[in-house]
Amino acid sequence: MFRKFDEKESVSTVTQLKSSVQKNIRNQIIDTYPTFEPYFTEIWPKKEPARLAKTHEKVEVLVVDHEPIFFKCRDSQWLPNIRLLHKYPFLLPIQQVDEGAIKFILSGADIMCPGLTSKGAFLDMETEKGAGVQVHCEGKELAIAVGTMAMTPKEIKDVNKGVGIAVNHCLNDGLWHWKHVK
Amino acid sequence: MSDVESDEGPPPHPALYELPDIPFDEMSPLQKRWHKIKAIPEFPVKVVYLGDCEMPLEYVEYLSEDMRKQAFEQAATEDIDIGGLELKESGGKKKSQSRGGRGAVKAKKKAEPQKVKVGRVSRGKKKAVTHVTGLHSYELDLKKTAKIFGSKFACGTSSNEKNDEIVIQGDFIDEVIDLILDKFGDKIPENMIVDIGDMKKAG
Repeated sequence: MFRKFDEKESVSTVTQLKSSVQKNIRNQIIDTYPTFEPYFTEIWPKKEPARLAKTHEKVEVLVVDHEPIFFKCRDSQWLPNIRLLHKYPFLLPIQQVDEGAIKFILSGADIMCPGLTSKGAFLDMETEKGAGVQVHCEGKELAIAVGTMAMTPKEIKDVNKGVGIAVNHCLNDGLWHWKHVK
Repeated sequence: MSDVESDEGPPPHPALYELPDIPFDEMSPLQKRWHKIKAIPEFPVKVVYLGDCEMPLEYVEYLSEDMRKQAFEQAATEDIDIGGLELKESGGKKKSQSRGGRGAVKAKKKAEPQKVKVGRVSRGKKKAVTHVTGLHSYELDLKKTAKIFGSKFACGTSSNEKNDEIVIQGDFIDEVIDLILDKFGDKIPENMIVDIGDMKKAG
């Protein structure tokens, strides 16, 4: 989603949000991540105005205090920026991929099923199709990507072909380098 | 979700994942991960990022060679333990990924330092505006810089991100050069600032 993202070209507008919309977004995020609430009010205090950056492909990025913290595409749930996810790793369910997949993910590939079913990988069977997940790697501590389940875990196991998790945001992509929003 | 909050005792851990009551060694990789997350006493977790790419240490090895070097240099200067990772020189035997197409993470191009050009464009007989171009490559915020100029010279200024240009109303060529050296002298060396005198009216 952010592979071809460039701050200058992709961001069309950054607008200050109306307080009613802010409330709405705040509630949506807290609904999705109920246990995040106390920390969330820390990084986004009630009075702090938030901004919304509209970028390419209808991706919207929530900006608080010059930092992009959450993003969403069309009607998807709000997904955390990886920097945020590293700080609060409990936000999303984990899927583990094997070591061989790392370099492909870093160059922007989606997660293919074999990378989730092989020996070094581990699949969380509880997640549903369309749910946001964080992708961890065999032998590494930190999340490498944030994605959306493109199949159910059962399908991934049975079919074992094609895209299993659509990667929305990964390390070293456009959003990762977009640290400061003017 | 219950809204009851007790004032005593630590709040429940935010991770929702339920762990079975088995020894750590018998857990699946996933459960181990959650076990570690649940063991984190305090959020936010501090993560160290290295180099221009700002990659976490454990992923540095997947960067391209020069980015990797840079990351390790930073680790050395800031005295960060890189824990057994070594800078591998890819000399002699080339790996299959040497094409650099897929797999290897490419380095992001960094803007070359450009010359800062200061020029004057005349507006009518006795008025002029000063154009300053090339500041962007020094990672200055054009908008803020324009504001600094404006408040120093008590005049109107405007910034143009696209053309990497600041326009100051009035002829301030010499003063601007002095001011840039004064304020940003640590970033911009003197020989990079050029006075190009009278410019043609930009189209």
